[in-house]
Amino acid sequence: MTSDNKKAFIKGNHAVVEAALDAGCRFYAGYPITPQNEIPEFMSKRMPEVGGTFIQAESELISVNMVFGAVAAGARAMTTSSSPGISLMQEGISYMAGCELPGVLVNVMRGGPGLGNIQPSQSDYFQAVKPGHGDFRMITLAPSSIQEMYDLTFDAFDLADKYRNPVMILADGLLGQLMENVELKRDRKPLYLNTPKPWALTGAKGRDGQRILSLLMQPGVLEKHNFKLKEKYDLITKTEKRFELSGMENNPDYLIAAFGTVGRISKGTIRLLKQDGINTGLFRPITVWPYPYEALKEAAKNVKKIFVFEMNLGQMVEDVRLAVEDSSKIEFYGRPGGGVPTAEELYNFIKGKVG
Amino acid sequence: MKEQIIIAGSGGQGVLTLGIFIARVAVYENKNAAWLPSYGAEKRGGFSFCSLVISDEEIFSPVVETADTLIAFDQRALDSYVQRTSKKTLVIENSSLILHDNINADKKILIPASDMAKNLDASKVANIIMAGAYIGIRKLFSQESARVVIQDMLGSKAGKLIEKNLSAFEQGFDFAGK
Repeated sequence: MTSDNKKAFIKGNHAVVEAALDAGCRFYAGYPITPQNEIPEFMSKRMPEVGGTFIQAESELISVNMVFGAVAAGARAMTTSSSPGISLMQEGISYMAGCELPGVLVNVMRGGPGLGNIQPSQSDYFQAVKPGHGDFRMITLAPSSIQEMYDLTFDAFDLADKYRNPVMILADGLLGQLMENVELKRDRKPLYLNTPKPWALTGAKGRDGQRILSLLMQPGVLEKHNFKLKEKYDLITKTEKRFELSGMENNPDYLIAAFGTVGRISKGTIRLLKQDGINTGLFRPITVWPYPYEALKEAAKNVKKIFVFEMNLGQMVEDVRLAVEDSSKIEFYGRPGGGVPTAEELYNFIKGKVG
Repeated sequence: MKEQIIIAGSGGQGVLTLGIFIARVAVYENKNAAWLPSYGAEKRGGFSFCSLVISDEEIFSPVVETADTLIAFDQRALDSYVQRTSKKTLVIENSSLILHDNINADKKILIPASDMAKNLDASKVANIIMAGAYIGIRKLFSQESARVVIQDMLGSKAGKLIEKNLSAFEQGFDFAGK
């Protein structure tokens, strides 16, 4: 691996692999599922080149629990899957959250429910921002380009270690398959990579034995633990919100709120509207948990309508409703089951509402 | 500039590779490019398709609705994508495997790429012949850039293979110039 920054024309799934390895990930376990198969395939080639461990596990359940084990032992580790596989991993994610373990997951979303299909979708917003059982939170980053697939995957490892918390990349089949030019930041230094992890299970030589447990049976102990977790979640919420906001300098009449693939497509819609003299701003959350409520509230203040576009039946729109004061200003348009909207389609929807 | 391309054919014809090739030529000339394949239960002989957007500016949607250029490798591919063309679309057809079309486009080029590839004793280079025809007729990218990318993509593989691809490219390029 070169230490120089390098431009590469690669798929989103490959960008995830390069970012993980550049961020110091040295353990990967996964199980095949379209549209993320290029991640384990490419990882099986690249991971041994950097001296790490690649395992094709026998299921998603085993994959996520192997990652649980690897991060409990202090390694940087990752698993990846697509929607139905992520459902299977939810138990392990909850256990990692309970044990405060820094696992990284990538969900290259496809259509659902059930086995659904293999087309791009944003059907798992709910199961990312409201994951698993047991009152926990997961940092969730939503890329919208192949550069962000790389950058945010790298960030995910730093954030996971910073907060000892699972982090998910919420991508979709389009971003997994799409090829774009990417700058691989070979000279970027991972944060916290060499920070000691005294909690890790590294063998009890020279010290007392220690355990990592998610079972806290004594009355009051779990409640205390969960209040401690809440302090961490509050800190993350205060510190880590990220979003892209554009077009606000023109005092737009309208605002589009969209994440990931639909976020980038919406920029084409905004350009089409501009040709008609209609100024429209874009709010694109990059962290969908923690959700940038305040920034959206501020951006939505003086617009007549907020258009929320998603590749699902309406999931992020619930967070938009929490953010804006007058939810009667919100108009939702979604494409479920693997449909990808075009810029013209979203333009036509807006034109139909504003005349 | 903005160029939106649809390339369609059958698995094994090098449809996806052709898309990546043109994208990389564009990137080599400092354009932005976004390449998106069809994916799923793909196999040799099955349907194969990719779309490609090339632009001086940021590319918002990588999905191509109406193509500026359609490159069709066989009859099924052409018939499937007629509806994604307009009168302004440049249509490049592999006439070895396309016997009839009802496309109403101003610019059409019918190139017997599969037959030309057979004559080169390399049926797999039909896609590079098509690439030559595309770059020759569209005139967005230089022949020199294409030559560099051919060598870069084939990498350390045998020199003979590079030669074969370069001459396949030239044949397509010259055909377009006629």
